[in-house]
Amino acid sequence: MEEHIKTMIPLLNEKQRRLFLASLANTLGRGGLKLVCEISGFSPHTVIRGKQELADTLSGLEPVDLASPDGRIRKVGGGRTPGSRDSIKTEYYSEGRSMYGGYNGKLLFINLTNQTYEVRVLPENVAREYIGGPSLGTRILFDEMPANTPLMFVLWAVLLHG
Amino acid sequence: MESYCEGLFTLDELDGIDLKWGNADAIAAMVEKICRNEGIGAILAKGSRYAAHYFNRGFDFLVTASGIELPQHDAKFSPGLARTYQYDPTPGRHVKGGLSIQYGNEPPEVRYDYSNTGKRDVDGVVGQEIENLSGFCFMSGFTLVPDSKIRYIEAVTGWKYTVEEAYNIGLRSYTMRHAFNLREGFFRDHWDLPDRITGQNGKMQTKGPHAGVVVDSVRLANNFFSELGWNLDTAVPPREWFEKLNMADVADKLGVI
Repeated sequence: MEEHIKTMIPLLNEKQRRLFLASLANTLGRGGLKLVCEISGFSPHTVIRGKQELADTLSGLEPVDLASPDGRIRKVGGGRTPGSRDSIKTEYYSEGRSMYGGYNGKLLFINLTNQTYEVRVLPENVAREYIGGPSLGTRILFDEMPANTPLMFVLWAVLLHG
Repeated sequence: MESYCEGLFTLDELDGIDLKWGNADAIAAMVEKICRNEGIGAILAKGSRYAAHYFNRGFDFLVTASGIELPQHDAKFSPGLARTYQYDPTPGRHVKGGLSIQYGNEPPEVRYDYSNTGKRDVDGVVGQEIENLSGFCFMSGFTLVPDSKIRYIEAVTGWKYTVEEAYNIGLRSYTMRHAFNLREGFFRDHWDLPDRITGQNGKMQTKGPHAGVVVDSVRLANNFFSELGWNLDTAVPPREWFEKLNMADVADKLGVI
């Protein structure tokens, strides 16, 4: 079966892979999911999603054609953006932090005069205590902008949620 | 408009716009001039207090808190708004915390009793700060059960807050915004509110539902700052206040020892 999977996987697109592995797992019955995942190296979540899609397809909930009408395999916005999610994960794991929901954990500082930018980490304790909006925004202004800056609202703008 | 109706300005000074009460076309024409920064519009675009200083007249007609135009909600109806309008770090806004507009629905013996408003005022600030800093709809105050905003924040972030930590989020937000002003040199005596709003110094209304109402804005603010434990003369929090909120570095920068 290992050979069967290794032959088939490269020939299929993402959705077809999910459906293929799901149908294999279903055929194997109890323990099938674990075995299929071990051999293929796919995450159980992926195969479980395939099972759901397979069930939906068979029950007529989802169209049978394997790509969306415009030929996309992934949903719009799906998949990884180069250098985005993975790099954040690496950064957080390497610094021993855990991700927390609702935040990407980064602040982008743009200097329009020098046309430069800098990405800084938003420490979790700061996010937890200040949350966002005018609270976090004033904290950033207070820290970054010297007192008595003339034309402060022209020279500084902080964009946050809230 | 009121100044013009009272004869303080000539038609020429308003670039020929007949700003009579009820003249909607004149309002539209003046708004356009303000937006385009043209003629009289360039002066009014900087606010009514700036215009009063520019022409050196019309101060009695100003409806501003520290130079910022007030919203429609009158402090004579809901007295707590006087404290919010005057002393919120961004003054003159009804979307900032305090006893709130709803306080005006209390019976007169409650809302015009200035003896003990501090706790409720501070609670209102905390709730409003949490609403504002997390981007909740202002109307959530009417529709969500108490405490639910912090539960929503917990659900999104995965953090857990104790009751005290949650309350401190609101206090910290208010303190941070207040500290910004302190650093820029704005202490308690900087913030003003015209007598027209409070009815003080003989400026009370003589007709209508609020005839004779005088809002004790000083007492309201004293109650508020006392409840917080801040200095009543300067509105500067003590060092322990900053330390309680994990903001000792802010106290350092302000020179609070």
